[in-house]
Amino acid sequence: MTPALEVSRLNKRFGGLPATREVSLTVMPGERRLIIGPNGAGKTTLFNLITGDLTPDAGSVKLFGQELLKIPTQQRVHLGLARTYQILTLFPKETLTHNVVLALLGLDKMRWNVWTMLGRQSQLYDAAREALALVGLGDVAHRTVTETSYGERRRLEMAMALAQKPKVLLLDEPLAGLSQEERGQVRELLTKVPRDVTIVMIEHDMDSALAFAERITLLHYGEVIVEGTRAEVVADPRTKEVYLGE
Amino acid sequence: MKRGAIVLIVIAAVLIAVPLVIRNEFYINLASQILIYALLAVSLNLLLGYGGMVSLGHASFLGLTAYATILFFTWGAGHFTAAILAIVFSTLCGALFGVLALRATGIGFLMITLALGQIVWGIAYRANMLTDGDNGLRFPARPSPFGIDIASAPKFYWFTLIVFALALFVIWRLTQSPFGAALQGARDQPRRMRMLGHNVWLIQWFAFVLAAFWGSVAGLLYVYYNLFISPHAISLQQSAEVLLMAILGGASTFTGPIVGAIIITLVKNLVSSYVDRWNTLLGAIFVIVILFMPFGLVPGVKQLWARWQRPAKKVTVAAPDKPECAP
Amino acid sequence: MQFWIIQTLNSIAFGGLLFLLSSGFSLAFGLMRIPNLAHGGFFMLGAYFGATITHFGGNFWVAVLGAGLGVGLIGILFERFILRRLAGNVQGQVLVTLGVSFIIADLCLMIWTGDPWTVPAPPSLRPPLLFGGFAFPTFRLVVLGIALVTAVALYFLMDRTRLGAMIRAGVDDMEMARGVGIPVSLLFTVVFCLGAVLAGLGGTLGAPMLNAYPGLDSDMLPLALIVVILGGAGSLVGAFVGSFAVGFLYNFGIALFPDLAYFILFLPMVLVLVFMPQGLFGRVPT
Repeated sequence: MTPALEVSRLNKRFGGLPATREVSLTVMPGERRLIIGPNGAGKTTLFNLITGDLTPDAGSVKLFGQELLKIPTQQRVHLGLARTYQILTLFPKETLTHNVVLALLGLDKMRWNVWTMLGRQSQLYDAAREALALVGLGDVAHRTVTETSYGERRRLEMAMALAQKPKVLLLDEPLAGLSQEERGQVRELLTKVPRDVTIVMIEHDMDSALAFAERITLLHYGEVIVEGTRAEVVADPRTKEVYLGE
Repeated sequence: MKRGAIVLIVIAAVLIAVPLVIRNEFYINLASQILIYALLAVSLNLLLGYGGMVSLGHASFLGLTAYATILFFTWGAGHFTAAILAIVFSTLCGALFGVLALRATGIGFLMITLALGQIVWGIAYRANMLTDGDNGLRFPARPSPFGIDIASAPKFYWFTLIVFALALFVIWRLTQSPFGAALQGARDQPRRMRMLGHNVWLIQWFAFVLAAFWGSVAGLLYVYYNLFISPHAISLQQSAEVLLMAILGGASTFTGPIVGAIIITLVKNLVSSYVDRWNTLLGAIFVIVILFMPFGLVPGVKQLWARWQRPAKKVTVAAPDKPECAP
Repeated sequence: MQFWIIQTLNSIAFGGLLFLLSSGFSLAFGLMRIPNLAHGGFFMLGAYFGATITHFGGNFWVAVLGAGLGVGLIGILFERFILRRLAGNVQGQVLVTLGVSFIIADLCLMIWTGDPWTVPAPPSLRPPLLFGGFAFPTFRLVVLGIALVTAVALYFLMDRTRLGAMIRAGVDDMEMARGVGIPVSLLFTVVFCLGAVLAGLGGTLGAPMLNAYPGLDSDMLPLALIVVILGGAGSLVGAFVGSFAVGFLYNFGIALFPDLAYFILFLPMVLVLVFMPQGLFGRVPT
């Protein structure tokens, strides 16, 4: 079976600093992969290399067998890639619905239309509200982003990504900054995501993320140190070394 | 009937009545001038307010179209053909300029548009064979679209008003369209937009071309109005004036640039008839607006109006939000 | 032969003048990230100040200093009371410099009228330097000499003093510089003022060659822009090399193809901006 995401020997240096070193990763369709590692391990850099925000010095990234290297970011999205960011990047002055509408437009030919009134595209707005309802934001869909709580904004980010029905979803620290209750909400949301979406998640908060993960990749100083099932990685002595050795 | 529609009808009625109420030709012409600059400012605002791109070379589209119209006409094209060719030529230049300017963002974009504007100005000023340099070119007479004569001041005003209204309507539709939403999204969060599947470069380039197109239409009206074009009309100062119109009125709104155009054109004409120091005043207004009113007048007035209509809403703020950026 | 030698000399002298104009501009651009669109105006003000001082009988060198100080003062006032209020708003700052450039140009027109003001070169430097059978314009060589001395002085400032180190740090990485406690706002004022002083000095030094006339600002600003874009913002070496390159381009261009003057100036600028946004030497991407 073709892997959903196949990263082969990815390398990236920033000046003299190697941020990503010979990183290889294979994620199968439907898998729930967790990427962990201490600060500066190169986790977000890896995501940036996969999405195209950064160009690698060497190596390749394949999405369902398709080489992504020469393909610009927006086209990777059209191929089924979606991502949330560690630092929220939303459209603050717009309503939650509008935020999701922009996400839906990203894949819709209508986005080049210079004449139709966007406000009258009820099917688009209905789909947006539906996506918001799925993440529990149905009641506040009409509010602007500045009128919502941080936890609600995190869920909005996820709604925007999920609304595009991606094949591979990259989540960059989706639980960061959330309260216990909010974390629970997000975790529950993640369990409800269908298996035709492959999820790769970066998380710092191991307690929350561990339950979610089926396979874990541990990064340190840009290299893959340990990889395997949750049980394997937890038991591996190198894991403890990486986290306690600092 | 909806309130907005009533307001529009009243405004339309007032605008149509202008030449009937004001009999002085000078003021009717001034009104035509205001409409032309308002269109130019609105076209620039597609880039500035909606697109988040500051261009210091927008007057060049007015000039390119004006010069091209005169030249094509002199070379034998009929009025209609000359107009179409001129607008196409100017818009194609816009397409090229857009490719060059969008190699950079922010200050780099500003500098490239400045340089391109200066190149166009320089050609107009120096290519004596073509443009007669500082002497400018004359346009023999206004055309008669569909056989209707627009030589007189009131008739030309109504012609301009019709073109202006149509243009504004189409531009307004654009701002309300999916593309308009994407353009504003690209202005606010380009990285995010890319990650949602939008081709940010293409969106911004397309906006540049559209801005150039509508600026070219304003240029056509300009040359019909003035029956003359000289390099001065495409100087850096002119581009700065148009930019100021958009900023002063409020780049974040649709009508802001129109208000800005009205104020600047009136002040310029008024001041110039008494004293020669328009440039100083222009510079001073620029500095004052940027320092103290970067959002312009229309948003400020809207806020006052809203506050007057009803008491302030309570807004829940949970986490620090991004600071608003002035254009 | 004579033509080429004279033009070469003129180009080199002009290059020296451009260095005085652009070095400050480049530092300000590199540090503060803003192209000071009023910089041409500063140069022109320097020329007019110098012309006024000599007109009322002042010594040439007094005029040069006076112009430098006068424009420097204006620079400090502008930076302190206008630019600083817009800290963080780079686009606003650039637009404000544009506005000020209009004010300067128009007020100069009002005060000094539309006729050019001439500034005679100091009498001791008027007789030409005879060397190898050729007569070299002494004054221009002196201007070149002053430019070279300034270049060396600036090099020492940037490379050997604490102030220079702070400036370089700020150009390289503003966030980091702030983080290590460098007084960034003060640095901005110092650099901006330095640029203004140099422009003022340059204006008067250039006046015997160029005169002081309305439009001098819009003739000089594009040159400064091109020098900095070719040489890179914030790079003194870049400003040095760029100044002489532009000096040659401009002089020979005007002499050989007067009709294409603007192309010769702006086309390389657009090309570099488009293909190499950081210029040939610079570290600050525009």
